[in-house]
Amino acid sequence: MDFRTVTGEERQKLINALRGNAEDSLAILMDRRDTSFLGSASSEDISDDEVISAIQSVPCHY
Amino acid sequence: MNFRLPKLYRWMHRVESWWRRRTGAPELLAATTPAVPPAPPMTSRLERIVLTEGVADTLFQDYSDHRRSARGNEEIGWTLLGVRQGDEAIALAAIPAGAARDASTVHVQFNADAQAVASRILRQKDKRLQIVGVVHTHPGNLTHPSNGDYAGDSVWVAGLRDREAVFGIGTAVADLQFSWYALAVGDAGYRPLPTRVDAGPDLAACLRPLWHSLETHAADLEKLCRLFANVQFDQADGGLAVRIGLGEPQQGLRLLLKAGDVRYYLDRGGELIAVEPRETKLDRAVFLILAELAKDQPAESRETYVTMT
Repeated sequence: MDFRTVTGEERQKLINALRGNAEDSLAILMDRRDTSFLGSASSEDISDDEVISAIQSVPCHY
Repeated sequence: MNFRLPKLYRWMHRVESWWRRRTGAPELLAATTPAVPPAPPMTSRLERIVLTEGVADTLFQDYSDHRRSARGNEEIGWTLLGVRQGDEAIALAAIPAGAARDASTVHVQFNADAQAVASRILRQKDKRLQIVGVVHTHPGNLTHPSNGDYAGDSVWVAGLRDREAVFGIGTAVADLQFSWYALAVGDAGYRPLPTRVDAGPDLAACLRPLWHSLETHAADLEKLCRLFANVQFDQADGGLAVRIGLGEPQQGLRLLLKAGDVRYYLDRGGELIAVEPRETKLDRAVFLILAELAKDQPAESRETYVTMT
């Protein structure tokens, strides 16, 4: 078992993720291999325009 | 004449696909790698496509239903929405190609307007959802994307967030099957992609009962979404309910789309006032109602029925 102190940046990200989870029900992401902290779902939000643009540019398939 | 080249290009690929499937002949047209911008370093390339059980069921059930339908000899397809986690793409929703798709035995072009509105509805609850891939079928036994597919997909992936996507090919030689590939920007060809099925629903299943209404008015709904900042979709009374916020708190315009019929209501703090705009086109009807409201003639009561002439 490996214990280590989280760095300042990691600590802030973790606090933000926990706050987002508590206040806005945002998911906390975990690495499935080693259960380490990957970040908050909020950082993965994608704009409607980006998705719509991708959908509307799907090419014809043959 | 340059403006005719895309049409000619599409026609040539259709002929090529038809010839190759009928005769088993080698590729008539050499695969060409279109000029694409250099790819930025990616953290990891796709190594697996994960389908929820719901999405997998949808693909097989839709494909089976399609083959028994009047258009069963045509190609069909789906757009997959999901999330990307590390080297896995997780498909959480399969959006159908739509009844208004352009398709034949050798091509399929999805109804993009309907799929765009569908994505807006699904993403109301989860803004992480993005396109993770596209699935389409081949009537013959070609389980690999064609050269025509590569010509379009290799350009398309360059515009995606991860510059890489999943591509599925459905075939029905003995049994129905789907073969999976990945293509990243700059790749010379598709890479076979391992598949795993995990427990979970197809998030797009909730749209199926609403699909006819959604697709009938998709272009107008998409236009309204672009024009108004606050458009919300919901399911109500067996139809598709649309709420357009009107700036003032607790005020909005409500539309109920059901079986080809559209009803309009003015929402004033929960009080619903029916409006009859006498206009068949949905977006024009909304604009006419807003113009009427701009005259600042408030309706009187819940029983008021506004008729516009």
